[in-house]
Amino acid sequence: MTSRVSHNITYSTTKYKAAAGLSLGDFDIIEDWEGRPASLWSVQRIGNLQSQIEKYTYGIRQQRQGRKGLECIGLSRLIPKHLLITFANKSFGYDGWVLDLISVTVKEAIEHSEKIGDKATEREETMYTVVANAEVRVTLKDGTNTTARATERCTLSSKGECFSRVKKMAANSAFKNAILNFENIVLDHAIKVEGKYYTDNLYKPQIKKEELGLQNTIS
Amino acid sequence: MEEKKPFITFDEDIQTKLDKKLGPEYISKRVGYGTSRVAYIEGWRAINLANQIFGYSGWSTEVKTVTIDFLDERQGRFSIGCTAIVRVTLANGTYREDIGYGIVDNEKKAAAFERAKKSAVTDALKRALRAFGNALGNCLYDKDFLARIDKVKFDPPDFDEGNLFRPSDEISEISRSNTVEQMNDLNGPPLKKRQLTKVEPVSRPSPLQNNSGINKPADQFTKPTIMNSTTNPHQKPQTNSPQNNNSKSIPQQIPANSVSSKQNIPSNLPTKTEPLTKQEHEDLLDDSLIFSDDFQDDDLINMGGKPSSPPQNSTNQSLGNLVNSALIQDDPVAFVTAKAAPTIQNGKTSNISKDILFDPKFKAQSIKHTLDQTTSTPVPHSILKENGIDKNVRSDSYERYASKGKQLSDDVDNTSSAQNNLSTETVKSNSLSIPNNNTHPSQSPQTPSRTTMTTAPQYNSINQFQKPNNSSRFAPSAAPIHPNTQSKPLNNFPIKPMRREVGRPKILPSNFRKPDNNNGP
Repeated sequence: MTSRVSHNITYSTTKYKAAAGLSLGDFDIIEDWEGRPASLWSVQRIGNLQSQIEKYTYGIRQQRQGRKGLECIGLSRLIPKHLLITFANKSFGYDGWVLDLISVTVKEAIEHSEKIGDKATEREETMYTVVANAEVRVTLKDGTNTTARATERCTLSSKGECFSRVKKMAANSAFKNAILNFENIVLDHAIKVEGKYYTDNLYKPQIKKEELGLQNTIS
Repeated sequence: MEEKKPFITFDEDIQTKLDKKLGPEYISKRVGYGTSRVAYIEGWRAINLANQIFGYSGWSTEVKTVTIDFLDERQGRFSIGCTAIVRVTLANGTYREDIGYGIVDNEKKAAAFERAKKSAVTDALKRALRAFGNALGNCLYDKDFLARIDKVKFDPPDFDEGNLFRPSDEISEISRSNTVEQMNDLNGPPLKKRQLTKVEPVSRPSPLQNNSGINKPADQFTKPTIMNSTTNPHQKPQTNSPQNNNSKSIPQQIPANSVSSKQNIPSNLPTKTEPLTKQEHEDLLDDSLIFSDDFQDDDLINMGGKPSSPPQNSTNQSLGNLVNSALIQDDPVAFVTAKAAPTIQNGKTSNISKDILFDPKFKAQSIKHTLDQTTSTPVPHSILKENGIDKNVRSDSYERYASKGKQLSDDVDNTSSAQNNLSTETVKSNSLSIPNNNTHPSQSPQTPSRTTMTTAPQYNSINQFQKPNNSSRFAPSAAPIHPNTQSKPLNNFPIKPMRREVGRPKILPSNFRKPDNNNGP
């Protein structure tokens, strides 16, 4: 019986060096779990999440069927953030995923005047347009992670409100993209495994299996 | 697998709580843009909810970044926009991060930055907590839920004044912690709260077993008060702990007609009443107001004089036994300063020199004395009216006292003496034998009638002796003496000055003042 207490040797903090004339690039030492599920648990949970998302968006798509420009609206626009949070908590558990807000940056802030109102009550008002970028990473408890970015633009008469709204919108959009990107991870991974994409011999599910206490892993 | 059940249950419990949507008690509303109303949760409520769900030590926050987006000045006032990124981490390592924003207009620079930063951090905290589930605010984005929750009625929470966390509770617990430790050392059960009604037998260290000589005088002089509580038949005696059984040399008495004592005390156990009454007395005293360095008025009265002889009244036999037992010990009896007390208590020195004797008249030069206690002023009419005392009483009292450097005329003496009968004159002669070193401020040796009329006839019963007579503070009482009191042998009673009611128990033991028929003559 192997103990679940973590006495495994890990190389997560190990720094590799090579002498002169040698290149570490010749050895695929560093495990890169970016863009691939780490366990069968994550595949199952992501599938569960995706089913909930599609169940919700299916109804909306049916309602908006035939409307003009529906194809241009992405899935992240159709589903609100609070629902994605609910779905994620249901699928992965409240302690099954973590959310990193890597960065929120303002790309552009413009102050300009716009004409507001009808011709009779037309007046000029100072407006602010701000463009912000956000980068979010969502990591499941087995190590499966995805990083997504989003860019948002907002124009308002209040400078502070404009900054506030655009940054929050960017962060929300990035989070939605990250959650919705899990579907792509599973699909891409299945294709890569079938096509024997992973040839580095570093896909060691046994390590993850012991760390996470999972019974099955992807082979 | 069974070992992991508690953890699973704990996680599932949290998950269940997080899945629940918020009740209307937690939801606040404000006016948004236009006529819309925005539902939100206040920051302190979100923190309280997180504490309830995760436990107060089950989560933590971290402000990752604070960014000032803009700072605009207009006529010396500033508008500032501030971004904060906060991470909320649970005990198991799960965390959420989110962004918050704070805007402040038209403020001074420092105040604007502080307020903007605070609001940004609070906003980010709420948004990060929201990502854990509905119960932490995620449900407030659900419009269908908000439309329904408006119809839910709820009662505002009641204000429970008795359930407040007060500083006095904390202080009292701290002050009692020492007592609890001492009791634990003596194998006694820890008492965290004062017991006014005794349910179980409680063992306390017997004061008679205490060999420290410093506390003995106070014990002796307060014995009559203690015995009042002892001889009261309305109080329940307690069974003794084994440690109390060790001191069998002390004679004990229990009221014969005490039913409760028969029920509680096994017949084969030696019974003691004094330690129990001591405990009751201590319980009834408000220890938060009386410090170890404080002296009771009786102590101050008798300070410097010899300890009064134990009462020889046969009615208070148990009192006499206890006082005698306290006097048996040969240790020197004196009041010493607090500075010298530890050295004597520890037995380092047995000699009590004059330097370490406690001087009640000592006045520290470092303390300004605003009240001159050597002189007296007339009592204002307002105070007399408040106490329901007629003006004539005061003038009458003034007539009985000679002013400074003068003597009372014979008429006054005749008037005052005419109010007393023969018995009072007899007692008067006794009362004049009171030594003049009486230092009680409310008493004067020049007031024989006061002593005789209020105290002397009542020495028959200690219970009556301690009965306060407020009217005597202002003027000698003109109440007639009961003729039965003439036959009492007054010489047998210790003549003691009037006790001033200071430092008495807050809970007045009214039972103590009832005449005890069992111990009566």
